[in-house]
Amino acid sequence: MIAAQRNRSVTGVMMLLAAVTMLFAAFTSAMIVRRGLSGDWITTPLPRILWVNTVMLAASSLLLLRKGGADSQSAAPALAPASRVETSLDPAGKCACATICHAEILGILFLCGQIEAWRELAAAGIYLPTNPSASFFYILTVTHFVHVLGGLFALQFANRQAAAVYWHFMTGLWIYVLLLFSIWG
Amino acid sequence: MRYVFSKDHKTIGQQYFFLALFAAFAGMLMSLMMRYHLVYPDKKVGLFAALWPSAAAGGIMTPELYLSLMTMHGTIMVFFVLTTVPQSGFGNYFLPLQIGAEDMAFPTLNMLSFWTTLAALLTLLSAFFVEGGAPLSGWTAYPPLSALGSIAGPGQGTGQNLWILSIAIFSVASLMGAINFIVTVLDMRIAGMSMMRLPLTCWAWFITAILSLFGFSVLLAAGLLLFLDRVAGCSFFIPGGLLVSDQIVDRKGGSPLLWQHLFWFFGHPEVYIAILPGMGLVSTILSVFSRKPVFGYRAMVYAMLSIGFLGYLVWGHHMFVSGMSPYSAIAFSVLTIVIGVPSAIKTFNWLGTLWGGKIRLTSAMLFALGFVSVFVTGGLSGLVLGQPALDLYFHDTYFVVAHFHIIMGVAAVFGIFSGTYYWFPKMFGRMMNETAGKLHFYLTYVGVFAIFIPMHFLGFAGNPRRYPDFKELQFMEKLMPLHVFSTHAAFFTAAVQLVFLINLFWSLKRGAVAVSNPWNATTLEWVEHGEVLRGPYEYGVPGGENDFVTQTEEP
Repeated sequence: MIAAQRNRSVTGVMMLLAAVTMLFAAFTSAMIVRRGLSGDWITTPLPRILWVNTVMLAASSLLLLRKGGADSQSAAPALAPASRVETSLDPAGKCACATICHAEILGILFLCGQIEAWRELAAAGIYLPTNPSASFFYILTVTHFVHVLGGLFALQFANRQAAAVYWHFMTGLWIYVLLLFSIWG
Repeated sequence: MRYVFSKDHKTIGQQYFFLALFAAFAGMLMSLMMRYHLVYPDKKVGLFAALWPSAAAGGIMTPELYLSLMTMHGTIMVFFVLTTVPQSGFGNYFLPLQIGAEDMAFPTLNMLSFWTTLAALLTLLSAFFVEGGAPLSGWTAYPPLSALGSIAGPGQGTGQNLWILSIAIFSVASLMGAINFIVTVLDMRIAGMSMMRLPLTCWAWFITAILSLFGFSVLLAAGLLLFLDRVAGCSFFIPGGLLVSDQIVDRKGGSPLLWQHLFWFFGHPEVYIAILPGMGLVSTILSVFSRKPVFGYRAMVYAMLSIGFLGYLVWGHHMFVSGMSPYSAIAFSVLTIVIGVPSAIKTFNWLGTLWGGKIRLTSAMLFALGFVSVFVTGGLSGLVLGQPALDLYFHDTYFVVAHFHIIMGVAAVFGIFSGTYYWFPKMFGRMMNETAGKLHFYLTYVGVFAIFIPMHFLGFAGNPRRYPDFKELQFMEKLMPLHVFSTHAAFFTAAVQLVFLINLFWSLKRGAVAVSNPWNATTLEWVEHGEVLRGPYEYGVPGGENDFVTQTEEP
């Protein structure tokens, strides 16, 4: 194989992320067009907990970066399934496992925080169809939520290097969504 | 059982092939019913009454039933035939073989892609069996009518929901497939197989996969928004002040044009998703059966890349009559016409490949030549429609119907036939009957032109499309003979497809056993895998025992 050194899971994740980018680009362009269409746009107040959530997600990403949860695997054969690395007695592998576990807990806290944010909005009478700004807020945050949920499974079961790339992207994507609503929400 | 949830790329390729074969015949039957109703709107048909006791009570179709057949015909053909066979069917089977890989990059994902595609097809077909029946809003599902629910028509309730659901599932399946194809081409090539040694089929599958990746993700987003308009009370595509079926719609603020932009951003590249694999295949087959290298291999690669790229910049040409600024229309128009350049490069290179070759007119070759013929025919009417001034007149007439059927439908289907005759020995170990194959080609070739050429004239005369009958239109009276001719040609051409079907199933069991490389081809699916030493089209090589050198042969 020409590119045996390259991790094909990582290539696959890159392609997946290209599709995710297009999905969010489509939502964004629809949002900007819809915002300019008519006078029924009422800016959605961003629940404060979103900033806490942001810190959670960013921290989990940083954890993966700093402890090298992803990099520890680069010593192992690139295409080895994650389980084989986990069962090895290599202490670096154990360390990576703990890191991933911590990152996942932070990820779960992020998801819980997102649910809390929706509850706050709903308590304030802002639902999906209330007005177009709220519609887009729910669509973008729920779509992101689902992708992070997928990321949790990926961290647990998939190729670690690929899962880490995906996870960092989700953090970046969340910051993008937040900025989008801070500016145009 | 090992064939059911198989992860083997060959089995999955065959599964896609047979799924699409079923879909193609289902779609074709619907078109025959529509053609019959168009020209004989008052004749009672027992079959209609048997299939739709209420919507065709007494054997006469309601206008709504006609529209639902039109919607289902378009959706089935575009998604489950034209997108499915050339890419997922042939691609799954032959991409790994042609690049020397053991399988696709992610076999489990590949299996999932197939089963989600099947789920999408079943979801779509189930729309026939729900209250109100199948949706009416065409394969483009334009809002506001597609966004309002059952007040917009009988199939616009549950039927339209199932349509959106089906398309969303299909989008996910296509995205999974696209990721698999791209990674396979990038990371799974055998030693020596550089990108510029790839057969043009592999290039075509690769570029198509990239188009799918960017296109279906946008369609998924648009479908979700439309679904929320329908079920959650949102208003993305519904403008204020609508009065539908004597009811006031209380939604406001949305824009149907937003859907059109999102849809056609996917919809136009979708045309190339259907046709590019055929282009790659035809390049290979013309080379094999004229025993000459592909003329201008690199130019072919760059032409396909630029067609793919430009395909993303021209969606606005579907919306010339939407009230867009004439300046935007000019920009979209110029970009559209520019696609003629790489398309012409490909056509001239195909002719260059044929020039001076030792041409063997096998069934596969005939359909490849037919592909070039219909591609040029449909391409020329594309140049007409690409100009706003002309499109204003031709929009929503039968000229458009003729154009897209020839370039997207017939050309892609000729590619599928060509590939079937060419690869059948590899896929099933037996040869198809050549006499029946040639008969199939000549009759089909005459048949499709007989169906669609009259439609150009109908378009000139201003015949609107999507009308279930023309009884009330006085100016149509003198045009009806053209429609009658077209309908007869459609029945004739459909009957000819039985020759193909019988040949296919007969050859599966009784065909002559195929030798390992029946066409004396050079690419890896026909020869043993090993290090690749040269490009894929070394034909007409003088001096040796054979007139070709395979990709792995020692010098």
